[in-house]
Amino acid sequence: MEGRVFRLVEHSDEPFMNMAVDEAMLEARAEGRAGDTLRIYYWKKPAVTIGYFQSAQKEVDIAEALRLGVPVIRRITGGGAVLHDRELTYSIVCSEGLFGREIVKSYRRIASFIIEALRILGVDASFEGINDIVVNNLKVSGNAQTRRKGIILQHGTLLISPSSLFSLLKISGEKQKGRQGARVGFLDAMIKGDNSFDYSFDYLFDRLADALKRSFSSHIAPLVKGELSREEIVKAGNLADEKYRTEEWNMRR
Amino acid sequence: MNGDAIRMEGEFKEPLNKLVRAEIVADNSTIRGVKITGDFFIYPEDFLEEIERCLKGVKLGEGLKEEAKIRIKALTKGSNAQLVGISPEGIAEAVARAGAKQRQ
Repeated sequence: MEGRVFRLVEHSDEPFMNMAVDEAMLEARAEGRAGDTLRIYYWKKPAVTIGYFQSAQKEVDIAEALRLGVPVIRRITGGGAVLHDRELTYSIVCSEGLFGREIVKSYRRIASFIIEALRILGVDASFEGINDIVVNNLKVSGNAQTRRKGIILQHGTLLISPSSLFSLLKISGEKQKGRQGARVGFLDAMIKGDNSFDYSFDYLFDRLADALKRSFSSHIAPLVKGELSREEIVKAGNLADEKYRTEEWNMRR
Repeated sequence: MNGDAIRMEGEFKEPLNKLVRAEIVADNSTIRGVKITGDFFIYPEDFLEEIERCLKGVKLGEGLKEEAKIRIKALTKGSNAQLVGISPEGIAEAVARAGAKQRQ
């Protein structure tokens, strides 16, 4: 890993662009036109994303999402449905040599920098199952990755504060039977601890982002502040319009 | 298809694994089409379509689960695909649960 640096991109956008930017970064990296990147972002408007293999109808209350104007977007990564609201999202794009070809192990290795970031904030988190991070049995982070041409894209969320929109997600009967009943926890209460001071979402987001950057720099690679290239922005705009905004893509399963 | 195609659905979640849902279309007690959905991971992603295709022609009934499992295992073995949070057995179980609905 010596000599390797990551570009740090702090680019937040509207929902369709958020997903399009991640894919554009992956493509640019796969074509050798961008370096390894850590992106940290939030959602300028709430959205639901579903895993690549999921059925939109089965996972999301589509009618209610429409009524509320919350877009439902299919990701290029597998995994479950996610409500993006009052959270921090990250994405990592890098060559698979860094975390290995074996997918299951790479989830665990990438998660370690997130767990370390939470430790910096006084939250004792651990890795669970295939792709989750939990605190006291409550899921605070879900993560999903895909690979193209030897390049990894992994994105994931860190839940900061509760949202009234969680009811847009349906939970299947089979899932309810297991312990994986999507019991989620929120970092605001965990970071606050016994402190009764009311932190704002922005404050907590910044602290979490700082902790992630610190942990990433010391565990994975040094970060160099950067921006998306013009090419990535144009590519993302095209992907947003031609893919992520289309019913054909979002409803395909 | 002879016009009386039926659609059936079954889901299964293995302990420690992800949810697998199978929707099948069958006629003459034979699977004509399968759609597998869920929160699992498969690399490369389009391998799922190969899994769905390999289940076409499987007969409904007692041997469904075993036949589905054998076909998916054979397909997986001959590929570089990685299945994460999902297994040939789990997919076969979901397909069998869908198929079992017809006989009720």
